[in-house]
Amino acid sequence: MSVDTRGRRAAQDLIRAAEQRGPVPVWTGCTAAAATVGSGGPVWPSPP
Amino acid sequence: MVRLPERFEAFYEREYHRVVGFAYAVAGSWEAAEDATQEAFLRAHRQWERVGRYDQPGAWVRRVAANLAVSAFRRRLAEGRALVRLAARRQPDPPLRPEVLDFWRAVRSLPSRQRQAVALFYLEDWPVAEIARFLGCTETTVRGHLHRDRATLARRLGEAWKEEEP
Repeated sequence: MSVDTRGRRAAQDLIRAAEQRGPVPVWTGCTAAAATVGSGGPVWPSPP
Repeated sequence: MVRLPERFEAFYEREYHRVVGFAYAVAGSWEAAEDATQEAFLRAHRQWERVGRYDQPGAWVRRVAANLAVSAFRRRLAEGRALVRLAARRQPDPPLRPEVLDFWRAVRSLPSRQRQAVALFYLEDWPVAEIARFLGCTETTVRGHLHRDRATLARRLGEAWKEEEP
């Protein structure tokens, strides 16, 4: 296997692993945060 | 023509996992990668009127996330939070095959900027010009790095090395 083939496979596996960490955290407060620095941001899912 | 920024939420949802993956590739810790990604998106959000108008707002977020993920501050923060996370962690580390772990470990053995260039090359399939813009260097420099670093990776991993035009 060439290093580039291995690298591309490793890249696909890494993105898949990142997705398996959980869904994209819900972003909250975006509307209000547009005017208020520091508000809003992702909310991590609760532990199972 | 004035470029209107994309809706932040759409950008965030599309890019989140890929930014976490990139930050993990350069930092080697899922916790540090997620912390750094969260902070990078928060910073982007606070400046979205400006960042959202960039040609590549995703590059901006990746640059911030990578810098945060590898910084000593971020490492200390991640370590400091580790005990809390032991109890509250939502997900165990996802399983990565040994050959995948070995590959990214070899990438992380490269100097920081070269590590980022290689990670962008494989993860994002970015052209040389885009990687050069990301790193703030010339395309010639990026080509040289990618050539040498892929040869180094091949040697370290015992894989074949055949020149491909990046």
